[in-house]
Amino acid sequence: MTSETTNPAPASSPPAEQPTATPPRSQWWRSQALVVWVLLLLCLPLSRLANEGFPSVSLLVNVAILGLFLAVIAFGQGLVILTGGIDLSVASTVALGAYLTGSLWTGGLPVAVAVVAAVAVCAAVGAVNGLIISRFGFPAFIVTLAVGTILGSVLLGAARGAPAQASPDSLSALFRQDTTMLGVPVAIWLLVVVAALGSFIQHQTTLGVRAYALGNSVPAARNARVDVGRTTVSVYAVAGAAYGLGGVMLLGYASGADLNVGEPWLLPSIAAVVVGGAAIRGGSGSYGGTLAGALLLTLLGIDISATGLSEGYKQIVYGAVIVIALLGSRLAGRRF
Amino acid sequence: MLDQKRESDMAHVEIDDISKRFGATAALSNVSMSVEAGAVHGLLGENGAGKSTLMKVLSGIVVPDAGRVTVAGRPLQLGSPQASRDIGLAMAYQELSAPPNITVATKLCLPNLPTRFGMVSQRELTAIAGARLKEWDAEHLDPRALISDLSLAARQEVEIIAALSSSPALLVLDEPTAALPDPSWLFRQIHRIADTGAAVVYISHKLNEIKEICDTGTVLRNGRTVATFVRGELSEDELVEQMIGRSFNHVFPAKPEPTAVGKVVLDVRDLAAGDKLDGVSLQVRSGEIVGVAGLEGQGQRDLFYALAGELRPSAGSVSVTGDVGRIDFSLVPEERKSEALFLQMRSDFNLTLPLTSRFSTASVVSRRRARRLSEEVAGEVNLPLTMLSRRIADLSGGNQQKVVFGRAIAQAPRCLLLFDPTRGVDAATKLEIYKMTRDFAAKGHAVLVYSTEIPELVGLCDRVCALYDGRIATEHAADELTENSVMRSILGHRAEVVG
Amino acid sequence: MTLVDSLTRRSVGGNRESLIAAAIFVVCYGAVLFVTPFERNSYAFNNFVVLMTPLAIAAVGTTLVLITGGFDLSVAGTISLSNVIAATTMAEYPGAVWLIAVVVIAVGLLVGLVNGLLVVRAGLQSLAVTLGTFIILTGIALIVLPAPGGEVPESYALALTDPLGPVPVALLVLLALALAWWMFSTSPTGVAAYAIGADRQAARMSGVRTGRVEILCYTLAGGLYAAAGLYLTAITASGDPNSGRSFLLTCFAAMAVGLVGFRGGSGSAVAAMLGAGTLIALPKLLFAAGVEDFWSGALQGVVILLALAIPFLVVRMAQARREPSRRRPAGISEGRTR
Repeated sequence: MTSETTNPAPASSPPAEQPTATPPRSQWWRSQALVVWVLLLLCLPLSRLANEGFPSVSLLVNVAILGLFLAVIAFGQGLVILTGGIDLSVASTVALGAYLTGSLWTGGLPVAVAVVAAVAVCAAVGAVNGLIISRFGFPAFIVTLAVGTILGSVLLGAARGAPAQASPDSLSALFRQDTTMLGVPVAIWLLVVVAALGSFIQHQTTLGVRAYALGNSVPAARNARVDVGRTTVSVYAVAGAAYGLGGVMLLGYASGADLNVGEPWLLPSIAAVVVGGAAIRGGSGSYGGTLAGALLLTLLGIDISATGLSEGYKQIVYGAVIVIALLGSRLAGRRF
Repeated sequence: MLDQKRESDMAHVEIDDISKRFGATAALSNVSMSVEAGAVHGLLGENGAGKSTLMKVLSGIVVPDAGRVTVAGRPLQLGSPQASRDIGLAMAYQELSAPPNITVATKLCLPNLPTRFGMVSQRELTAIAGARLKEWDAEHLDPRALISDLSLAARQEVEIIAALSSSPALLVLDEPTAALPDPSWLFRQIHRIADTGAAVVYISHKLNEIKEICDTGTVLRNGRTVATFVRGELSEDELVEQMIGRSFNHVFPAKPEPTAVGKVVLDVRDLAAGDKLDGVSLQVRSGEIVGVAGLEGQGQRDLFYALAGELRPSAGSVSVTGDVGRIDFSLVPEERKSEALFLQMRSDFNLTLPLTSRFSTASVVSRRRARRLSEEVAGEVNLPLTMLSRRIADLSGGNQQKVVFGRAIAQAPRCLLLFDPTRGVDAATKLEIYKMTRDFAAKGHAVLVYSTEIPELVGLCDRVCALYDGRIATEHAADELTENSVMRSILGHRAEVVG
Repeated sequence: MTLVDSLTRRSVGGNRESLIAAAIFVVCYGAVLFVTPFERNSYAFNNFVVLMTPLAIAAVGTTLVLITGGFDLSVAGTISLSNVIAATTMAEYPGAVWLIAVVVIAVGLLVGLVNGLLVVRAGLQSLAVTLGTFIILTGIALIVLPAPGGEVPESYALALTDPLGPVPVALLVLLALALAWWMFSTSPTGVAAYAIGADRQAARMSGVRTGRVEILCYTLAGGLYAAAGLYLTAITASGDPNSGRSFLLTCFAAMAVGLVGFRGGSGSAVAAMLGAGTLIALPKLLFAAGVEDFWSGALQGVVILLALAIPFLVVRMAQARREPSRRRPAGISEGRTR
């Protein structure tokens, strides 16, 4: 008996409902992330169904710009989900980022400093999430829910009287379609940077490696000398920074923001991660998938709006895409 | 009470030509087995031989690709747990099948709970459970206790009694004595149930038990039936030969002379930790492999995990000496699936995770260096390089354990902690692990190993400490290092008390 | 048995949790009554119970699913949908109000059944797939009623919100629900649900029909969400396609305050109902104390975290009590080896 023999059902494994057959590693084309990218590319010409003028350059630009916010926010959520958690404090952290930037700038700080400070505070909020979760072992769902609620309330109190923040001109300028660099709107360059940076952090840093470890098995991570507490705090902090950055961008894009700016982003952030192929239990997935999911959902949203169908249909399609993505993932034989 | 009416359906179990593939692997190939009514039939085989898969086929959890099963002349509808239950199959599983948040009484009566007005009647439940416990000689168990409050031995007893109570036509016991200190209770009940005409399948790798209790038996190897025997027909050596496909003499690497052993590397004084460990002192010298033997729950887990830093000690001291730049401990834990492996990741990830500092600069990972490191570590444990890019869940138990082992050694510990390192591992890989352990020790490091297999400890280790009730009861070395003496020590017969 | 003993001994049905949740609620609501004289009459009491009822009913549903180990986010969508269906059809057919209510509950049961099938038969992860169904349901609600509107016959609204003599109808509803829960949780199906949440594999191996039980739980939960939506409709007497939105997080908050175990296999829906009551009482407390209302979120969040801390502290107490003879260093032994 050579040691090459593989046996996928060792004696000590619990009974499985389905055979434990898994595709050999070379079937990379079955990766969900790739499927979503393909779908995204297919949907672009299909947008013609939504509007005679589609696909067009301005459609692409819109998808890129609108997708940018979801790409940033879903990066944070994706990192958290990767470790086996979930982050429900997205809405208030995004609002915090926008609010702080606006009010610090109004208070006299230079734009760049205001942005950095705001993002840093958001990272601190994330770190609080991570600390509570790792120190006490409370479920991430509830901790982030509670912290998010507390933060939202604090913001309401702090913003009393002046709930809408104005955006610094330089920040808004970044998001105007006519602000270009090498002929391409700056916002699209930002998307490229976000894509590169997100991918880098999740796949090329030791933090990313440790996040994958945690999501697979916390006891195994401990056995492999991973500092579980530190990794958890770092992951939630980075996620918080991402949400804050999203808030800053939204502030610029809309040339102002009120405290509800974060509301529409929580569920889509989870949706983008799930559609992109990450297991919601953690331990697998890629930022490439999350990004594709974010862009696909953004494109679908734009297309449906363009058809003139009401908001209700958009939601139905959105929800259906999530369910279909899950079913597809299941059919491809992935175990959760 | 035992269901006497079943006597007329004299249980005669025929398993015919069962085959099952999982992906590319044939877990079972044309397996056939016959069990007479009232007989106890042993099922032997290495880990990975197909015993568990066969049992899953019988219990309806896995649908075979081909084959038939008949019980008392009636064909069994395969793939339906309900059908298996209806035909009179009862199983006591190796991985105990009781949810932790129910009571003993509930487990014993599931799935038919007595009700009054739609709600479970606790009184009747306790009464029925009490009667069953009495029936099977286990009145020391409290029916109202929660499963999670029971010791592992008690849980095993509950598991077995639940199966016995269902008046089965076919009773399957999968490693039923794994957690029981004394199998005589079990053997008495097996004789009783066999006397009612039930067929009993007894799965175990403990050959002494097979010899004692089984009338007939089958040996599986690589998913095929390689031998059937009646009691007394095959010797232990012959049985093992059938199980692993070759003779197993000279399994263990040679041990060095006692004088070749060097300075003290690990010095443990009065260590107490967790619930069970009550004050243990031992020493391991450079070049030495020291074994820890003990029944379930004597503190061995607390000892190892405390040393590994995963459990905070409540008393005592630990000191480790060794080369600069080496860490004190690394641990190969008890259950790799839940405590060591990152199942969704590739093998190379699993191999090198603790060593990220060696292939990253300023938190940035270098894929190239990671790849090289994983190849290096794979080489150390003789893991084929083709395994590296595969998901670790696809590897055999033996290869998975090699990954865990390789990772532990690669961390360069001064003392290597091995907790049941050959559990769920095929024979060939066991030999490799023994050799790698000895090689590691020979480099001047220390090894502390715990195993549930006394022969393994005696064969591999230079000295064995018997753990009893949270303390080291006896230490065995040289002439006193025999299976019998170690076995007696862990059962509590103390020749001398040490530490 | 000492108090600490009874607190540290675990029980499956969540009696201990119900007691603690009741204590928390009594403290919070008691404080409201203490500080606010005009709350201390039956009219105010009726209003309070009415206000907490939709959340309490919905929380029973989410608890039912959480006990089996699942997360049901579709609660918000089903409530919105029930609300808009009721508000649009009841306005058109004021005579058939109760028939419509029955139909709405049937719709809720159907939605729950779909969820259950997706989770059990298709093997999809509950949190992810109910997120999807939640969004779909919101979409359907938006199509039925794109903007807040619709109306509801006064007879319907009053029937549910007025007191019956001195006793609020709402209270009767809640008591009936608590009774139904008690009967369910002690039934074989209920025991099975708890077992599934603790260890699905082991439950299946013990003969439990896990698929059926889980699907049943999701289905019943759907019906409960629809009932919550119907009750909400009686309160607001109108329809709003986003009316359920606020229930998404508050249901889980109510379960947290009710000490329902988020890993499944333990907890009590009665405790979750009491948790809902606590969450509704907190803003009143703040208002009574003269604190500005935006702090209510902060207080709720803090209460949730404190509620999480209770089982944590109880476990620590139990550990400390179990080893009185050991010498302990400054920190408590971790013991978390699994």
